[in-house]
Amino acid sequence: MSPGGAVERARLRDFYDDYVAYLDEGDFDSWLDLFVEESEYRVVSRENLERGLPLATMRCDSRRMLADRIHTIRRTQTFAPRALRRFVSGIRPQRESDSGLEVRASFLVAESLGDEPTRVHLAGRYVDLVVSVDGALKFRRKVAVYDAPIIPISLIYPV
Amino acid sequence: MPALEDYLGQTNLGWFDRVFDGRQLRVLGYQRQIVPANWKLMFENIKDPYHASLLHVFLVSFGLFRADMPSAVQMDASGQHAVLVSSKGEQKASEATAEMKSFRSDLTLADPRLLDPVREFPGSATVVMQTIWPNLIVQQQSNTLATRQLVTRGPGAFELHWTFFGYADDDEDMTTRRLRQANLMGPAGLVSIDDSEVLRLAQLGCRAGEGASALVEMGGRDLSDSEHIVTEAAIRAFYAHYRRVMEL
Repeated sequence: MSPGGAVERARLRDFYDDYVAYLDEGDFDSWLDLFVEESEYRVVSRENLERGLPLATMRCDSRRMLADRIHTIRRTQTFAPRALRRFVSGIRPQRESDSGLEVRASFLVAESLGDEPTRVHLAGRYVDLVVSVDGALKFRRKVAVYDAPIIPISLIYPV
Repeated sequence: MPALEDYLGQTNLGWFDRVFDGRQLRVLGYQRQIVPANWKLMFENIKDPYHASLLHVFLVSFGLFRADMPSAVQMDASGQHAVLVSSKGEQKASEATAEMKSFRSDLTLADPRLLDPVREFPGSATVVMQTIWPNLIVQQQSNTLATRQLVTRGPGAFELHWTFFGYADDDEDMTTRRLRQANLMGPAGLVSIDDSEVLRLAQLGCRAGEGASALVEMGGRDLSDSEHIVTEAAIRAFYAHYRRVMEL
């Protein structure tokens, strides 16, 4: 993959559009397919990251653990229904190495809960590692770093 | 100003010292959330141990916490602090679990590294939840060690400031284990999401009935310690203390 090319930029854009659409629509099986088996997924606060603290707010050390997260949301957790809409912008390929292409982007999550007005739930940046497997793009690592140290009520679904 | 030891009282001091045993601590990180509910509901949540069996399907199904496990609720003399102590059961069906609507015997993890608890303290307790007046929760749930500070934001909201920690002499495996188990707690916790969500709903319910009152007297009116967790004695003791402090 040549990260600078217009075709590759468009392909990356499509990849992130799929990612967001699957999550927003609750198509978690398709969403999980965007990760390689041995992948890392993290949602971390900027506060912890900048202080060099290892704690993540959501941490999955494999695609299986990510599937467990989805499964437990569906089967075990109690929460009020809500609509989430995620917006990704500024998708920029960075360095390419043997382990994959580092990609950075901004995200914003809008949450509509009950009869309350829609609010911004989270904003931050992705620091990702993308690889190509049999012609399809996949995440080897996805880290969502949220800016504000405090989360409104709860973070149920992945970012 | 009493010394901390006197303030906590013997029972709570013992459980406190179990975790804060003189070893150097290592902060693993922070999490914060704001919950649109009165702060006292959060203390009620921790002081009401039997809700866990009804609400937390994750804990129940993986045998981490159940009402039929050996448990106790203990308070200090003033009733302002309390501790819930419980010992882990197994993930297996029994006569008791057949009656538990929250038990899912078919639940398994594709990657069991998420739990993988190891015993690290003497004794059989695997869940120790301390509520220390007026605003501190100290928790040990398997290998997740954390404090939660309540910060009030008016009568209708509070912030919960979580500090996750381990020990400076933890090996890498133990640190990773704690970081993975942290998935159960905090604003994205597989268990604690249930609490913050239900607290919001409870607050909405209370607000609708402003000026009204309701009284549920489960187990009567006494404030004594209990050898099981189907009790609200610690909540009653908390409110008795609250009324003394607030001169109500």
